[in-house]
Amino acid sequence: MELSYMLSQMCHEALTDADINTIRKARGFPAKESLARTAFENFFLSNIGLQAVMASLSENEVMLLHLLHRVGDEVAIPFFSRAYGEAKDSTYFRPRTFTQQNKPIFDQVKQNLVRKGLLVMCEAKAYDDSVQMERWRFRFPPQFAQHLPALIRSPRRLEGKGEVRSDVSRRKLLEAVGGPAASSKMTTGQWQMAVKHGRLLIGDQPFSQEILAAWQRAAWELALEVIPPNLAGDKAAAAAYLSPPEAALLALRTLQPGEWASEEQLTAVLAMMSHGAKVSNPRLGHEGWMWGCLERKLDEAGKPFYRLPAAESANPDGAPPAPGEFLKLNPLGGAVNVDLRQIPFETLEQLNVLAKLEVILHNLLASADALKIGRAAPDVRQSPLAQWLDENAPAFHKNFEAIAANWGRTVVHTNLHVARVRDLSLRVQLERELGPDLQVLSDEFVAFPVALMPEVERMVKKAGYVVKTIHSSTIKKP
Amino acid sequence: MKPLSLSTTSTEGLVIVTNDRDVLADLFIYLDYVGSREIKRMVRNNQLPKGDSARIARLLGDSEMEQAAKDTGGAVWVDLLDELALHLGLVNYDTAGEYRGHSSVETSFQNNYVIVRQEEYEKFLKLSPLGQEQRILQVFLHKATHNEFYTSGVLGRLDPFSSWGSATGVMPSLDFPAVRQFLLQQLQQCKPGTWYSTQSLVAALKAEAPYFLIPQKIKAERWGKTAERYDNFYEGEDTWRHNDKPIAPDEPQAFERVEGRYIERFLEGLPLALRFVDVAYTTQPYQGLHPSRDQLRAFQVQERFLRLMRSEARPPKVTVQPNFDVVVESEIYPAHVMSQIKPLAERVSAPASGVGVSVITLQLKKNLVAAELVRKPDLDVVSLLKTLSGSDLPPNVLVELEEWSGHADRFTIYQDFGLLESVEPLPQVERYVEEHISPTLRLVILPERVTERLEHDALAPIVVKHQLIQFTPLPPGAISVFPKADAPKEDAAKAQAAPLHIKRQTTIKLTFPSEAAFTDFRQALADAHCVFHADVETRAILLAPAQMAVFESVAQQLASRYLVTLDDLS
Repeated sequence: MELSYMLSQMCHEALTDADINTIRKARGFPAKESLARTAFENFFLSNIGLQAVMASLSENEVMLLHLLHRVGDEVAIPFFSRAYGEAKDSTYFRPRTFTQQNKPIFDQVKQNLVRKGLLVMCEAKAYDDSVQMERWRFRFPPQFAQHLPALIRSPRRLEGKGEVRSDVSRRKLLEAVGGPAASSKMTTGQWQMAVKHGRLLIGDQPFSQEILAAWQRAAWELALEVIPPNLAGDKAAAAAYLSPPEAALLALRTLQPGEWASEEQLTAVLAMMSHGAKVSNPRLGHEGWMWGCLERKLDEAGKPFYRLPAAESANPDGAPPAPGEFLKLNPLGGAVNVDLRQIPFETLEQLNVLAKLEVILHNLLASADALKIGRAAPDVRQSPLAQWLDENAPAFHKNFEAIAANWGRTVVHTNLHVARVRDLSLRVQLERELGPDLQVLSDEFVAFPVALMPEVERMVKKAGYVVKTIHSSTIKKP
Repeated sequence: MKPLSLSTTSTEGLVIVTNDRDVLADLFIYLDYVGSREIKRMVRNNQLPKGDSARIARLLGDSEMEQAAKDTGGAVWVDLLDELALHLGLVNYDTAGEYRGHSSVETSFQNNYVIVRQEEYEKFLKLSPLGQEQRILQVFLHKATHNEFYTSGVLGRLDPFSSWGSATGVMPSLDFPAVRQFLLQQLQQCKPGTWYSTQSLVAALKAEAPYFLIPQKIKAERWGKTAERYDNFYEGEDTWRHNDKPIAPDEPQAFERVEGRYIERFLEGLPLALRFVDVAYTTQPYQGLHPSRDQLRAFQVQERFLRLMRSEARPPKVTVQPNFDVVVESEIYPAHVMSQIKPLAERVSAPASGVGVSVITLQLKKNLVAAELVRKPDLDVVSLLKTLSGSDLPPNVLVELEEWSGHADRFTIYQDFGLLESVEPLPQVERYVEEHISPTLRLVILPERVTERLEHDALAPIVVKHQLIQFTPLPPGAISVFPKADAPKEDAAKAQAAPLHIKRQTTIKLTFPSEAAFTDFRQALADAHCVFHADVETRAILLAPAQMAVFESVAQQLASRYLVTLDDLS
């Protein structure tokens, strides 16, 4: 359900007058102006009183709302059991109904969140035999997120940089040229680093920083020995579950510069965010640092604190190295030797796009490939890497020159409709109605996006003409 | 056999019954209907559902028949067409059924759909109208399940004999197709348009061919017993009593009481249904023994019957008139001609049938002609109409038809093609080009192969897969008529603020053009403690005039994102 619909339903049907008064007071809406429910509905989404109300939330409730914001969708009552206690499904004498089990949770949600004006609730329409308690839905307005308190209460302030284990990802990269495995368990399948068919791949995906970071997070999770809850078939619960690394990263994102979180503070979010998971290794922060995902700093007492890696910490040497420091022209042939220990990852991504890569005697070589250069986006062909290759590697220079001479002069357009319009008044009408969505190609031909076909058909028929269609499959292939 | 000597008679005091329905024309209407829908027959009795019967009746243009179908669940004429189509092999459906359970006493017909047999239909359509009528006649002649003694004709009104004992006696050995054929041959001796006395026909047959129905030598039954001539036939005081009074062969008027009754029922059966004869009944209430006799007092044959039996038929006459009407006159429904004209024209009048010639009027329509030309690009409408009418078309019709033919080509969509745009000539991909749109634009098939070839030639083509709802901007530097990502930018301050036109009504209703602006203003007004009503569906905020100052203040706050312009609606 759309948030606006839910809000309208809540303000006009779900809330009693007493509820509205309570919200009005909690949020500090002007009494007279918000008297009418329609006016109240407008005030609900405003920023009025949010900060004060958020400050009154418990730690668990703050985590709950952060998680709800992350889910980004409506949830049902069972979602809140992680904060307000598990529903008890039976008494000593007999099993309890859904309503009996969840009524206490519902009451707390309504009291602590809805009546503070933080949550929108309404009843989902259903034509089955579900009870009302099953049909309640709750949603956190995304515009409230900016007022959410940080997940880490009382973070530690520490000056200066910490340590980031950037060697971890670098070791992973070196697996491509036969280096030792960075992780004994995560070297095959989707995490195998290899050069195949001229490309550097992780699994079957082209190398990217994003996938490398995902590998690090997966290794981190493996190190924690996590047994995730069984959420098969429960889409809502699966959407509301974060793995411990994801939970830790979410918590750390709410820190301000100079703020750090302890191991205990990180672990505290797991109960809420990774609800139901069993974590055998409790050193969430430490393993995150070990796998290069977190920055660590020791305080005066030697206690470790963690945060997300800051840019200056990831590159302690300052500016990234110039291409000439990690690329060397190979004396034999026109290829370029690539030093995987030095090349920045972003540059390696670009090289993967521009050049044909191969491993020879544990060395990564990059050769000029006209096809790849031609397909590369302009910003990649104009990057410092490309400039260095152009200036220093004759084979690359030759290809860049040829591509530069031809690039932009030929375009192949696909996924659009081309029409021949032999009636001027019809063409004028199409131009007027479709505006920028119609491209005039010549006196008789026009082009327009595929999804506009029904609208175009309607206009053509209204003008009294018939749509003649020629499909490419009916044309004889050469 | 000597020609029959028949007497003419007057129809004064008699009620004349004529059949206006053309079986052949109606059969095609039925076939069009079932061919265009999925008709599932009724489970228990395997008949057409009531709704479909009523709809077919409506298409036949008979409101009484339609009402009867609605009231009683079916219409006999529609059932006739249904059965006829099956016997002609033009449709297929299960007629055996299956017993659903141990205690079932009758078969059921689950999921029994009427399927038109397209190949047979095409073959039937290609027959001449005469050929089609003759096929239908054969079906009527050989309908073994119907026997004029026991089943009334579709338009008949005479009561039948009781069928009690019909599996024994002479009945199983009677050759009804031969009898019907014989009687039709005798009717060919009649002059069309002349009313003859049924009694005279009966008397003539008694004199000249007394054994036309029941042979002189009766074959023994399978049990070896030879039945008496009229063993199967009984008369009764009323219609309920079936075995009151047997008819003995030597009784007075035995022939008139058996063969005579048959002849009356024959005349109101096949010949009336196929519009071979008209019949006339007495209006006097019947007083004698049942089943009734001497009720069908007179008959006259139609000219079309005689021509059909001589295998003569005038070809249909098609006339194209200056008002774009196409008039089709034919004594036999010209299905093949109609199948060619119907896609191009709308029927204006229902077929007016009376004496035997049906006249159908249609009107040529521009959109139908254009649509048919799209379906069949090789169709020459002018030639077709000239051929059908056998003469030149009226000059104004000719001119218009030629103009209409162009209508089919006014708007052509090319689907699943690629568009190759290049300032180079590119002869290496010429074989993929379907249309040269302009010096730099070509419509191509197999765009992926075109791309491969161009890349192979180091031409570095930019491949753009456009979005479904809008064009994908091309990268800067691309030479293209399509929009590019580097559209000219104005100075920085203006570039950040998007022009925003708000429609303001006199009631101070502010309607926002986008969801984002509506949400932002709504929230900002609420933050400013402004009282207003927000209509989410129309993205409108309604303000009291006094609140306009608050709105203006909010607009100032959001000026870095929106350049607000208020457009007053009149």
